[in-house]
Amino acid sequence: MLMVIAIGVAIRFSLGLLLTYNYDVYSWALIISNIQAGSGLYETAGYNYPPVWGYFLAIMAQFTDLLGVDVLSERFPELIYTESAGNIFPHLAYVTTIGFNAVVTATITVFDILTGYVIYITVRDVFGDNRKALLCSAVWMLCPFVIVICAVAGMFDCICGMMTLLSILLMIKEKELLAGMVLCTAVLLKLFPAFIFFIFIGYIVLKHREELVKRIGKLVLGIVIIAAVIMLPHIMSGHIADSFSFITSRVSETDLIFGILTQYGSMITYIAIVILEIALAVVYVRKGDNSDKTFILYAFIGALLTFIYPATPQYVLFLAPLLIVVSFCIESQYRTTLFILMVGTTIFSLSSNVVDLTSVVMYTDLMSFETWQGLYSWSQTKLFGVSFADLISVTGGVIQYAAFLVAFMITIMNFRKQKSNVPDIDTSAE
Amino acid sequence: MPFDMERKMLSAPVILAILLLAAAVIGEVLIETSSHSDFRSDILYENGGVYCSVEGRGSHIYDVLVLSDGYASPDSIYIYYDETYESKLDNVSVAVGARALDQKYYVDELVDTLKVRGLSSTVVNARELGDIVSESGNGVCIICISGALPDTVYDGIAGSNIVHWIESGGRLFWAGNVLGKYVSHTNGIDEITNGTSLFLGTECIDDAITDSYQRIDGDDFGITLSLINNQARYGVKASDLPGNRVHKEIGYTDGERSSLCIIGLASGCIYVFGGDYSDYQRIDIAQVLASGLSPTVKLKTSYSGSINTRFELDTRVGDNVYVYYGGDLTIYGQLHEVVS
Repeated sequence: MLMVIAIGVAIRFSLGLLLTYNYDVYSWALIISNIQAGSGLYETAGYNYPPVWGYFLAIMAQFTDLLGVDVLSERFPELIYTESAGNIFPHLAYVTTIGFNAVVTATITVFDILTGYVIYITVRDVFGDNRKALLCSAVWMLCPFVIVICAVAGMFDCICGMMTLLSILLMIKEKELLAGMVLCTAVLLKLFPAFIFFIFIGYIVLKHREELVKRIGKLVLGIVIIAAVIMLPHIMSGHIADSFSFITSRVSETDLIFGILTQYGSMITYIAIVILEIALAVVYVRKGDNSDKTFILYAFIGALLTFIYPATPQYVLFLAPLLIVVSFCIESQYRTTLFILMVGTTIFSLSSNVVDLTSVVMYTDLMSFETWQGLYSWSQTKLFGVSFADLISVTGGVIQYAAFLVAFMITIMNFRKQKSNVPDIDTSAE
Repeated sequence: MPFDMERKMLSAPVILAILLLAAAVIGEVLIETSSHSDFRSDILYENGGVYCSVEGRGSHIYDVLVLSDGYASPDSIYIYYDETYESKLDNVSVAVGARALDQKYYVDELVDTLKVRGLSSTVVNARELGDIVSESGNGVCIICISGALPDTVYDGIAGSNIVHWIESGGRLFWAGNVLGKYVSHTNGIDEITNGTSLFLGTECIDDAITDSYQRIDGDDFGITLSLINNQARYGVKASDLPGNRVHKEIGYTDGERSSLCIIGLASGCIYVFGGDYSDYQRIDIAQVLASGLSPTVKLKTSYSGSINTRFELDTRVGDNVYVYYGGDLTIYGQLHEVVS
């Protein structure tokens, strides 16, 4: 396993130092600067998420200070033309330094390793199979889209997936208070884990009916305590709405009709998902199976439902730890989804392609600016209204969504088998 | 498996959960305890020389500019905002997930951005603005981003109070639309013909949207002050200014208009920032105000390096020294006067 971790880390650093999606990674530099300036998370523009990731960035900032990374990002006049609204992929003339990129990659790699560990202890403790635990962990560490989203995109969604799986494991170990705290922290990182709350309630109903009120009480208490601790400064400063702008401001004002469809379409879809989650929880309770495996399976299906609405590639990391556990330990058919995602999500997350080279171009001699300019112009060239960058993005997005459609089909087929009393769990995965 | 080993294994997820929660809380405390006072800079007079000390928490770069003929720190800074008066602004798109950049938010952010540079400001409404411009403008800055001046200070004719105020030494920072073109009332907006001439002497501003990627030739300040706004819409066409108007173009140009032009008007001056609302524009307004740039300011010398050091300055009495940390992501700023 140490070898797998070493290889995973080596790949992440090699890739991360060469390719960086500055548009997002620059945001981390801006937010850290705002924090250091005493502006907090929401006083000035830059931070558009619930607060927990900002808290982790504040810790990351201690490492940039310790390591002497005194320049996080610079604005290059020669890149300003890339900010033009007509360009494909919003890019910035701000380019993050190699030193800062390394700190970001290192931070997210640490969380990737922790996620691999949580997968390992979940499989080992719930399924009692050490060999499979190592396999699942290795799949996570060497999964191409996990590597790219960590190393290139610098996105933190793996923490959300890790904390979701950890909260499930804590529930299984009857630590409801701590499970509630971890689940709430995951929700205040990215909001998706909130959707599987009803499955948690269903698990308590099935497993601990005699202590229903006490255990639900502990779960809810954990959620309330951590929500208060995390949100209190923002409630007092009047920034509670800003901390949820991630869901309230999902459309650009210039998108007109497409923007309206996107905005209202997404709202309607997510309301429908909430209804489906409640229905799923009811089905789960009615099924009457209080095993830990079934809890994990239904939590996975609950997480899967959030992908009814097409997602950007980093969101997949919320689902991926559960997907790996389920597909290798409970229902092997979901491996098809995992493998399709390995292709689609990886392509999708590399669709920014040429712009990911700007840190290397501006801070090293590995590629000249003129060469990069040529590549950039070529990536912006449209053939029949479609650019190379568009093509990669759409291809990746379609394949990614196809993976979810496959997963939905597998789930529906298994539910149908259940109805006709055919065993619905493929024990060959165990 | 031995019982005590199993207990240890069972506690691994608990330990990990506690560590993660603790990390989140530690990060929260770090944010709540970060402040402007984590950094300081001083001008020291020792052994016949003038030294600059740049101190602070963490690893950051500093830039120090020695300026002659600039402004000292203002006595008062007022930001005009009155939701009962009409504004004349175009909506701007923001990143997905970001809060809409409306005037109220811009003003709130501007207050904070000025604080980062050691400056406090007051938000005033139209009536209060009217009271301010009825007095001398010496040592006073007014920031107006509403795209239209209220009728309490401007009526579209020569001799408006705001013009007299600038002439008496006031400094007007303007952004958002064509200067002087609009007068706002509580129930509407009037368009003024040749309104810009009342401020700048000619109609040298329009609302054309152009590409402005070129740096302005001979501009010392765009890079040394880390000015980041490059938009030139509503910017001044300096070549159209009357020959007797002292002015300085800074930043970027589309060939005609500049992203920032500082134009003298008697004892005061006007700062015209190009572009619709943007975070870059807001940051530039704060940086230019904090550094005390004037139409005749000169950059004598500049220094840069990593903080937590001190060094001798090539300066003399009467110069200003602007210190800022963080480069293009400024986290601290402070203007000093060389007094002895």
